Amino acid sequence: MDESDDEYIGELSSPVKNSNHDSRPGISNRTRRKTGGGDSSQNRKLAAGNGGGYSWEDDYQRSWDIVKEDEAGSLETIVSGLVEARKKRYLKNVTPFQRGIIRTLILVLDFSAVMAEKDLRPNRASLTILYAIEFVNEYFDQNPISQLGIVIMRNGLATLVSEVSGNPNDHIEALKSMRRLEPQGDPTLQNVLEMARGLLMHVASHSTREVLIIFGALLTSDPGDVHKTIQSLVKEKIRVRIIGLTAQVAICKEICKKTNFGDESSYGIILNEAHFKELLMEAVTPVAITKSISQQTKGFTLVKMGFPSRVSENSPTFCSCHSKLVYGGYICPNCSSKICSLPAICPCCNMMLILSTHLARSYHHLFPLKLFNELPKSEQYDAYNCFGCQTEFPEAVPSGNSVSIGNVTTNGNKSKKELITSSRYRCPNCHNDFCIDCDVFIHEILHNCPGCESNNIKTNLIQAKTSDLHATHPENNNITTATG
Amino acid sequence: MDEIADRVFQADDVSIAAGSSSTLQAFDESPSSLSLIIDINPLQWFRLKDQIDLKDLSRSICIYLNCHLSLNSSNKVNVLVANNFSDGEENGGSKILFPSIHTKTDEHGSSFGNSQGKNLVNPNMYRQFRFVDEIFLEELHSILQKEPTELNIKNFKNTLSGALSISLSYINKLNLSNDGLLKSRILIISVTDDDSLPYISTMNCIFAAQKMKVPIDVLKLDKKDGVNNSIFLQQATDATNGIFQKITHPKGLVQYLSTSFLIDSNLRSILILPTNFKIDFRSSCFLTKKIIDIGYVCSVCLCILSLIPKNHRCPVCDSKFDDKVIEKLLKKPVVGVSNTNGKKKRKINSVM
Ligand SMILES: [Zn+2]
Ligand SMILES: [Zn+2]
Ligand SMILES: [Zn+2]
Ligand SMILES: [Zn+2]
Ligand SMILES: [Zn+2]
Repeated sequence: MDESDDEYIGELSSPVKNSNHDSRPGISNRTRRKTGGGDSSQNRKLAAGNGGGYSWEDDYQRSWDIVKEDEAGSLETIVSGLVEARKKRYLKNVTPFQRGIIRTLILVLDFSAVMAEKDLRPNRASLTILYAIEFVNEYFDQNPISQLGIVIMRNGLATLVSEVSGNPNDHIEALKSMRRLEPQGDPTLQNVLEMARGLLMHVASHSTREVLIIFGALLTSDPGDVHKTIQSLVKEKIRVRIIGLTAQVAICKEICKKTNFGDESSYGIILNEAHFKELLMEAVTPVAITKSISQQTKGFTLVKMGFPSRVSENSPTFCSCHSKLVYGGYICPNCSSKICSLPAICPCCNMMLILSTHLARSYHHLFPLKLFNELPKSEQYDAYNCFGCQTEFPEAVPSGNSVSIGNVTTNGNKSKKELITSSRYRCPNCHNDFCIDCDVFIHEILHNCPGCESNNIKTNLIQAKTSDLHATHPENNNITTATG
Repeated sequence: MDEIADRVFQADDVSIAAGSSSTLQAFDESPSSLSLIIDINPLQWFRLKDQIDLKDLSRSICIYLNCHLSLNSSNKVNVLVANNFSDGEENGGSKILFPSIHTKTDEHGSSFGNSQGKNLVNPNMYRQFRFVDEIFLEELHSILQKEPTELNIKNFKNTLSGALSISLSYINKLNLSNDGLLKSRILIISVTDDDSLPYISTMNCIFAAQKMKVPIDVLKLDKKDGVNNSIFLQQATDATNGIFQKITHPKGLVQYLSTSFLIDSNLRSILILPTNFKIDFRSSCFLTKKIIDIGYVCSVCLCILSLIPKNHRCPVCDSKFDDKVIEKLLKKPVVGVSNTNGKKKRKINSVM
């Protein structure tokens, strides 16, 4: 039994997939009740450092303490609660805010003496570098036409490690070479913010200006008044996000609050390694531009871009970007010069060249899929199979057995089990029903409703706007040439 | 219990293979799932009627499915159709044929549905093959029966993206229930050009497939002189490490299917794939749906426009564009005139 403890926790912390998850016998033995604690959501809030108090003033929270049985000794309600929580996570992202998708971000890493501490394995500095490499990859994956620069704080100085550029490999190389560097001296917020300001000064107006600081220390040694720096950051619309590795520091909180229009949520303190990564990955999603910002900004830019085609060659020719002999490459649609990799700015005609797939990655931010509604419990349903994966839905419960939540028999026998939910999630547009697995998959990975896409009559947002243009479809020509 | 035992067995297998030379041998033994999407757009099939018809195709497909099933006893298939126009409440567009939701798939094959498919397949065929082939033919037949005699082309929308979405959800569920041990791939047999394909949803499918490491293969049937217009499907194969082949001699379809399209997804890194390396990466304009190679991109929402909107506002996110920037973009290139070299050039310029 003891052995399986770990496995069970692991499963809970991973996303729970099925609301009808059969609670396994023996779980109750392993679950410890925590007496006198607040409710679970409150605990989590405090632990994340967003609540009123400090997280270290609270009792130590074990991850398994959050899980509690209900009166009937079942975990079903908790499991379905976790499913709901997962749904809520993507619900947050549905608000169609404009997002500043062309970004420029300065990543700041603390490399002061405290980073040698071993509370994170193998030590803070190496883990930070490891995660920073993952962050760079993910950042360019999600924001392909954005820019990034890396700065470190060491010996009371800000040092530029990697210039602002759009090439992830340069940054990763720079991060890898930092593995040999020993953390030393004091950190300095002011120096680093001033350097970031300098780096972001020349950034084009259509790009966002962001700073992400990973801050391990509890102090900062500044040459001057850091508040003045904060004021100039606010003036230049630079948004700062800080991830603390130790505990909350008042000045960090202030920086985040002031540069994010009073919003403190951009300051996070890590709980453990996994939470560290989670906080870091949050910074990958583009920042939403609020109404107030978009009204302040008078003009957004329209950028002319080319979508080149890839060619293959039997003999190498010179590329126009490095003047090297290479096989194949991309041909600029404007001036027909050959470029070896994308995205790039054509060295010949100065046009920005990208793959259309680079842009398309961010489109699901623009046209968020409507949330599916859970169907109310009923005695009869229209659909028997999930429209996505074709799995059969659990059968409807006849009215004879009145259903009360939490009154679930745990012996896994389907016929005896009364259902808490209908397990059907319906798309508001096409009225097709989906299971929870498909619902989560559709909203988190696919971003398409299979039902809406499969219907050849109904059209969606953009297509509705341009449906008139479809009248002149080549299909018409084909049929006339084929018959005549 | 069986599942657990199986996994232990496989783990042993891996360690043995790793001992010898590479782990590839062990991977070969793991089962794979094939999603087949057939485009049955009647207009396009009519265009191809001199070369191939659906009957020929379904014959070849039966052989292909059997081939896939015979490679490993736990291999799986599922078959979908896209672009059918059977109107009415039961949605047209794309639909899943196998596993069928109409015929309850009884493992013992006692209730194989009605007789339609049975007559077409040799009753002495290996049961596993017969089971798949019968249901596939039966369902295809019933869909073709419902096909309307007249079409309202105005509402035409390519539903290939829907079929792709369904098969990706199906694969996602398979992965969840098999702990990722099952490798999957998708083959699209396409006859329709891409102009009518909804751009954003197709791209979303491509990225989802990329994330799930599911290769998308495309077999495009076309006339000999047909202009290849499968831009998005080409991009799909390129992004997911799939195979794109345009076939103009459909008589040899079985040959193509059994050579090019039986390549397992984890063998792809060591084989030179029979795909083309010249790929068109053009994009589609959000407003006119035209396929363009140079466009204007809104810096807020990254939508692609083939023309500058008249009101200087983004048609998608409604951001106001900077007038100065627009002015700069509208400027036509001017022939440079040097001041030192007097009147003659100026004259030429004014004539122009
Ligand atoms: Zn080059
Ligand atoms: Zn050029
Ligand atoms: Zn499903
Ligand atoms: Zn829908
Ligand atoms: Zn826009």
